[in-house]
Amino acid sequence: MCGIAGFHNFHLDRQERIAILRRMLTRIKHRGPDQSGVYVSDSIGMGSVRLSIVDLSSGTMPISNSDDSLWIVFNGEIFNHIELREELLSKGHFFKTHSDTEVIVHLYEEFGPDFIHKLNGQFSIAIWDKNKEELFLARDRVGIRPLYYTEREETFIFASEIKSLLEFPGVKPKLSPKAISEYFTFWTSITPNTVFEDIFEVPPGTYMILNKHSKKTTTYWELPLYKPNEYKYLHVDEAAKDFEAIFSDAVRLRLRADVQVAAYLSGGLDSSVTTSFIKELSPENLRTFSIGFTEKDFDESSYQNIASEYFKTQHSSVMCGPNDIADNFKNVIWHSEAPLLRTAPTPMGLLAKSVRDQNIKVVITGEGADELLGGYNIFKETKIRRFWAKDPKSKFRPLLLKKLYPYLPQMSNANNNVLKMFFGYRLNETSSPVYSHLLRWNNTSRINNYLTKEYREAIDGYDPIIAIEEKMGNKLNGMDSLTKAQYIELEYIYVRILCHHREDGMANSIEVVLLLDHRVIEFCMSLHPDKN
Amino acid sequence: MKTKNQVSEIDNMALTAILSTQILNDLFINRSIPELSDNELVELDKTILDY
Repeated sequence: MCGIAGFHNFHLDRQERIAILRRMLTRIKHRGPDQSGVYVSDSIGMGSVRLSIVDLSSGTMPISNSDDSLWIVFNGEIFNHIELREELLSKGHFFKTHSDTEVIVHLYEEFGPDFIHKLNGQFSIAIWDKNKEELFLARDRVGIRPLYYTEREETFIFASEIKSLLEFPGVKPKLSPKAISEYFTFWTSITPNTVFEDIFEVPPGTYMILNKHSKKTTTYWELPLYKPNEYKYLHVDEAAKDFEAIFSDAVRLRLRADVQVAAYLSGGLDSSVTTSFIKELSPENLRTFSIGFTEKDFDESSYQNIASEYFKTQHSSVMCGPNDIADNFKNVIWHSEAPLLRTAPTPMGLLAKSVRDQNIKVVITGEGADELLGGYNIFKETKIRRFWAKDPKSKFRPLLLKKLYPYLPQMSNANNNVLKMFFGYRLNETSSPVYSHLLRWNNTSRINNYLTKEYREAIDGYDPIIAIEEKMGNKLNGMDSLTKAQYIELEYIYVRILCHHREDGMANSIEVVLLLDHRVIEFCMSLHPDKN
Repeated sequence: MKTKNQVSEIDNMALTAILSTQILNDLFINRSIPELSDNELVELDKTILDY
């Protein structure tokens, strides 16, 4: 897990620098209760709190290269660190520790910023180059690990959590009405915005290089997009075989740790498939965890038990009721640092606490499959709406939506007028790049009506949906409708919501490992929609 | 909700969104979480001073 914090280009006396770093790190010590350390010079102060997973005895940060010209603090895991270390050893590098952290600083020494392409991991990185007096900051491709920053006068301040930034003197938070309207439309803000004015995130798939005179951001990875004539794989069997190989390798890498690795097992398809791959690679006793609900409509314990028995895992479950959610909700907001539209992070936080109470530091989750393989109803709903839009007066086409949502009580009696009223929103705007999400966003955005007059005036006509359309530009021209929907979900929505929700792990000092291996993502995006 | 005597998914989301934003305001803007005292601060295991 770990947390990092720091500042660059400041006017502080030497004692103040350490005092401020200690305050910043204390605010995030839940991320790394095992060790903490700082590096301070006249231009940089940076530090970390560590959750030891790889090289428990000697990986305390900050860590330097051989001549101490580069110093790193890092949050996350580099899953292919063993292979990268071997490559560096063959080039004559010498290591002091067995940690993945040290591999990163040597990679930077050898390859410069381009080293980032070699990493398979979830990470946020800060490297101080003493000779060039430059700060390098980077975030993983999809933004699993957070990294926030703000600027005050000429000082650049960064940290794994916003609450840490607020410990720097003079940083005063203010809620952004525009960002709130984004949250009340998309469930998240548009990167690099956060819900606070003048506090931003380092965008996923980017790195920044800062010195006294400049700050430059470079995109090193983007979600790949394929036009219909560019899709790979003609046959689903061939695709399945290659997917199995890539996914298995992603799981293999993520099992690497000097501590026990467990898995979340909800009883659903994604976590069951993940568990099956883990068991194949590591047949010995696997600990699995899940959450159950005292309200029977939400409880899936029976499926969890079936899955656990089938895979012969040592399974633990935590029960959660409405009072548990109420009692813990405030703490969840403290850790998510964002508005939430669902209370789901609260039971997940209780689950993470249970994992930690049983001395497990790393847990693998199978989330992401629905986004990557078109599993959500929104993807099917889009297909039906597009079909309906070709003949808007059809009596039969909208009835397909009833088949999609048979579990919704209001659907069983819905006639065509009701379906049209609800699902017919902007039906004919099929050329919009965000067509797939227009209906959802329109429904959600009604929450903005609850904002005070003062806030609505401050938003001043800002339309988040238009903002996101403008940000996308022509990027999605010529793409299949499923690809467009997946792109929106993965690029703007899913991982950002996941990160807010995954603060449950960070709050409880466990590393939640996601199977969003960039090779799996790239593979899934290259598939014809029929193969998903 | 009182009129219809039922709660929709949007109603649930609205309640959660409003409540969470108010809590956010309370915690981060009004700073209702206590200031850190000196004896709460992390003890550093490693300090590199490079002057």
